[in-house]
Amino acid sequence: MKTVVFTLAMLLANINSFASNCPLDFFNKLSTIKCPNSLTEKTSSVEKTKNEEFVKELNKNQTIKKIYIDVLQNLNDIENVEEYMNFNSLKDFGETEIFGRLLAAKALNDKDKYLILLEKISPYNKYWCNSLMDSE
Amino acid sequence: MIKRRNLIKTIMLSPFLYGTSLFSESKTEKKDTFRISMFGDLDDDLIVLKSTPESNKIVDIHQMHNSKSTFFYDGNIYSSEQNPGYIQFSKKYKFLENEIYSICLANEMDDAEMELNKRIRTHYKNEKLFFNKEVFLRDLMPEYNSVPDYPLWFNKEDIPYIDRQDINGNTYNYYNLFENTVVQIGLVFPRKGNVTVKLFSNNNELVYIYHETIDLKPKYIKSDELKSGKLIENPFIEIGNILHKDTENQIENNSYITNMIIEYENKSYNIKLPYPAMYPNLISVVSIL
Repeated sequence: MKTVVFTLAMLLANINSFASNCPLDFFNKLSTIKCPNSLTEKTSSVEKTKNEEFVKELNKNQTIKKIYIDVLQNLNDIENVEEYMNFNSLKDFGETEIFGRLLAAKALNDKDKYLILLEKISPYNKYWCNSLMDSE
Repeated sequence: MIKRRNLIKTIMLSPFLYGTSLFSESKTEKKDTFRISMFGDLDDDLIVLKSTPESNKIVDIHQMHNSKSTFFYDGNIYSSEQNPGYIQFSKKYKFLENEIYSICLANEMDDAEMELNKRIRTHYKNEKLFFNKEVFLRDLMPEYNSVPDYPLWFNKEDIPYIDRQDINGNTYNYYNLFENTVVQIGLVFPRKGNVTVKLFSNNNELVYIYHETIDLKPKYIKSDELKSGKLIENPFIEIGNILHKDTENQIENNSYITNMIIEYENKSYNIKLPYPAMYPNLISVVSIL
C-alpha cells in the first residue's frame, strides 16, 4: 500500500514538474526560427554573372569575409567554399542572429567566444543561425 | 670550390632534411583530440566525465530539471548549465595520460528531490549524439520511431498536458523510461584494443560484464549475458532482464547500476555513475586511434 501511495505521489509530482518545467515558450520560439538554405546552395549561373563585383566589395571588409567563410566552411563541411559565396547567401546570413554575435566577438577580439559560437554552426544543427543559450 | 660544393649539397639535401621532419610530423601526428556534438531535443541531461585510474571528474554538465544549477558528484560540487529541452552542444576534448571519457545522457528530476532508490518510469528522449562525424549515441525519439512498440509517455487515450506537436504532426511524445537514470553511456578511449566493462548494482553485485574490442568506429557493446541469451536484445531491456511492456501494468524495478569498472591497457577505472543506470544494452564505445 505504501509503495502504491509513494508511486502515485511521485507520479503526480512528476506530472506537475513536467507541466511547469516544460518550457513551452522556448519551444514556441524555436518553431519560428528558419535558418536560410542559401548558404548550403552553390552559386547559380545567374548569380555568377554578378559575382566579380560582389567579391570585389567583400574583399574590402576582411572581417565580414572571414566570418562568412568560416560559417560556409562549417555548414558545408569543406575548406574551399568559393562555389557557395554569392550576394544572396551573404545577405541572408547578414540577417541572422548569429551573424551579429560572431561580428561582436570578432570586433572585441574575443577568440574564445568566437570559437564557441562557430562550433555550433553545423549541418546537423537545424537552428544554427540562432544562439539559443542566453549565456552565450 | 669546396664551399660551393657544400652549398650545392646543402641546397639539394635540404628538402630531405626539412621535408623529412615535415613528413614525419604529418605521418606520426599525434591525435589526441575528439569532438562531441549534439544538436536537438534532449530531455534531460548531458554529462561528460573524465576518468583516470585515480579519479573521476565532471567536465561538462547540462541539466533540464535542476534549477539549483549545482551538482554534487563524488565529493565535488559542479556548476550545471541549464538545458531547456533542446541542446546545441559541440566541444573538442583532449586526452591526457591515462584518461578515458564517459559521455552520459541522463533523465532526472533533481528539483523534485526524489530518492534515487525509488525508481519510477516517466518521460525521456534524446537526439543523436556525435563523436566527430559519426553517430555515437543513437536517437531515442518517438517521432523517429527509434524503438518501435515501446510504451510512450502519452498513450492513445491520454490527454497530453501540453499542446505541442512533433515533426509528424502527432502529439510531442517521449519514451516511458526511468527517472534519475543515466540512459545511455558512450565511452571514449585513446587507442584501439580490448576492454572489459563490469557493471555493479546497488547491492554491490557484479551484474553485467562485457569483453569487447574498441575500434575507430562507434559501436554498442554486448554483455556476456546478452551474448549467452540471459538478456533480451532490446535497447530498453532493464537490469534484471525486465522489459517494460505497457504503462497500465508497470513492472516495478528497484535494482539499478551504480558503478562501472573498466579494465583497459592494464589499468582499472572505477567510475561512479552520476545517476544510476538501468539499460545494459545502451553502452557504446569508440577510440580515436
